[in-house]
Amino acid sequence: MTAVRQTLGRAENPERHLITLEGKTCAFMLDLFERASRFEQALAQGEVPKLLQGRVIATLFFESSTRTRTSFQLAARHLGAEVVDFDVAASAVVKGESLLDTVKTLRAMGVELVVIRHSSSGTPHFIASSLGETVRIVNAGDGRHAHPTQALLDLWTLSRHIDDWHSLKVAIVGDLLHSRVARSLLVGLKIMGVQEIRLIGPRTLLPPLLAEAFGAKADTSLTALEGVDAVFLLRLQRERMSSDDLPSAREYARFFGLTKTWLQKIKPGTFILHPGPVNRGIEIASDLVESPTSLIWQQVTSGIAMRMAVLQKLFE
Amino acid sequence: MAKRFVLKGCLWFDGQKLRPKKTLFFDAGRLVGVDRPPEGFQPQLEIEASGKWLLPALCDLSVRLRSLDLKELRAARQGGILTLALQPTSNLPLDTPEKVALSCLREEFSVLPVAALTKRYAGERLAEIGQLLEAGAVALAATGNLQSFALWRRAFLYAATFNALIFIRPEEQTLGLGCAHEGITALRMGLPTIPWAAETMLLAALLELVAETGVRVHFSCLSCARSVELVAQAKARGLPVTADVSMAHLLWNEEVLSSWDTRFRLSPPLRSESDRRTLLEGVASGVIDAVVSDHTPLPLEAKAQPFPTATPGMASFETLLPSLLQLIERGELPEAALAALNERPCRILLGERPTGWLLLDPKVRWPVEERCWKSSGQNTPFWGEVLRGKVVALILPDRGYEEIESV
Repeated sequence: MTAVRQTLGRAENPERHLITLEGKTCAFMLDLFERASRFEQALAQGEVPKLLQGRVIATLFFESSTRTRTSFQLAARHLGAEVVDFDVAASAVVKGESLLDTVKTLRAMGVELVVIRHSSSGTPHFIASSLGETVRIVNAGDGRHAHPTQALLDLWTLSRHIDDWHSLKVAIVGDLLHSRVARSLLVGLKIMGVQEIRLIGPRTLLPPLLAEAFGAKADTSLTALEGVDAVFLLRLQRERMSSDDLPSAREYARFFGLTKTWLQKIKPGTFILHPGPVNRGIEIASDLVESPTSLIWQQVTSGIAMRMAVLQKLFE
Repeated sequence: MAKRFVLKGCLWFDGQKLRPKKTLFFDAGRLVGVDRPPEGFQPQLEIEASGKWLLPALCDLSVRLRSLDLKELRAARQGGILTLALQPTSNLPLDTPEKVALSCLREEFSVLPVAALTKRYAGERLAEIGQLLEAGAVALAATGNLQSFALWRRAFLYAATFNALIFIRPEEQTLGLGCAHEGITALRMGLPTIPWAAETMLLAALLELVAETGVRVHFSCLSCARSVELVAQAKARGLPVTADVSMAHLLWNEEVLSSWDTRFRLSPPLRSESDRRTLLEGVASGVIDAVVSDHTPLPLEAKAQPFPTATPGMASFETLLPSLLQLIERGELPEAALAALNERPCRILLGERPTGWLLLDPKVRWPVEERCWKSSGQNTPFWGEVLRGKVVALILPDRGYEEIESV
């Protein structure tokens, strides 16, 4: 194996991969929104062009996930691609050379694009730095670092309900510290031109420097939702619920769970988003999930169209 | 090899400054005259050394090897290091008299083993400190992993029985589970983090024990501005405390992590720019006594990983002196800081001045690549770059002037 290259950043050609939204432009985002809209229409009409006929795509998930994995697989199949699914057990930690060997093996079988999810931040960067010239990488979530397709579909969903990004006031509530969705959202929101972003959560899950890192404001109470146009709720992971970060899920729900009462206090038309799956009664009261300003179900259905857009773009 | 010789026209580091254009007389490898030869001095060799620097040989207080390897010792020599403190690691725990004795080398080149304070370097039971020192350990070492403060206190008291020096890399173990400094860069990147308080809270707590027990402690590889402050306060109180910082922490800050380059995966992690500047000031003022290489050669697989799972450490014997030159050139350190590589660490470790010398050509450029590199570890961010400054000769006590093969 050759020595580690001088600057890993240089080795990945940003157009071949979607690893992070960092460095992307507003034009890039709008282009993907546009493509996703067209695919959504095509899906509704049952007429999807087989643009990726003959291409082979693999999903390589080191963390279990039915929804995202299925979403990618369906997206690929709608476009006519062949899908190979490598489901590595979550407990088998595949490190270093074995990780590269796995991707090389897929490549040798004719796989041209790998959708990867892994628990270590930086895994897709690492793979792209060695193999990026011959295989395309899509990041389906790496540790706490990024989950670009989720942020893309979240922002696309929101974009259809708002007029102007610049004057938008957005809040993100929950476990910011451990959330790759939140990080990608923050990057995406800034690219779209959102000026005011408020992060809300307990100090154990929201270090003030984290807010500073993204040009956002940190708050420890839902009163900071006042005047906000859209709120993104983050899923509270089970392991977080009874850890040293939080005494209990009940405590989180009491102080950070979004309820009708809170919404009435702050602003009537606030859009509610959640990347899912929702812990009803914890991040959000059950009766809010289907409320008029909730975009949660739209997010669920927009995933496939957005991932089709991403695959199409990377193969161009 | 000449035992009795003259060096002409070089700059000579006297511990504070580089004094220009000196003529230096050596006998049996020892400096016996400056500008004026001793009576009846008949040199075997006259060496034209203008433009070169004569420095006391380097003494490196922190080296971490997986096994005692001749290759690494040659790399050290190449870097002008003639005395090194071999630190225990989980691979090489140096916790029995046999292991310590086998790691000892005291010729013109010295490998001085630092024995583990606890058995298997695991932080649970005291090692047989008396016998380890008898077998040749020059000091003892611990990381932040001791089980309890009761154990720390007992270890300090027992070590003080033998007037032993304890090296400590302070990092509180329950807070040290991340892979990067808890600062803007890692929080943005989503890397598990280690707050600066992980180092300073343990440092502060142990300083209280030093005050109470009077044991001599050397805090190694500090990374925080606040640590510099704490050491300064401790010294002002008259506590028997010394400290060092690794060269990497003087050269780089957390921002380099944004490239995801695992060669910057270090323990302790690279911290903020303001931490780096305070560490530099600490070296300049002498609050931080020494600069170490913390040389940790690693195989390629150890670094060919996603960042959080890569093994921390950098191969740095051969880049130590060129790096210091860089810092002096940039005005980030004064010339006097050269003493942080030789005089000051030697005094801490052995209570004496370095006995060997090195001749440095500060202008020669050399590429950091296979043909010029002696260490088996290529884990350095300088790989593929061209550095300035190379040791061209060593002056060994009793043996004399020895040229190092040029590239």
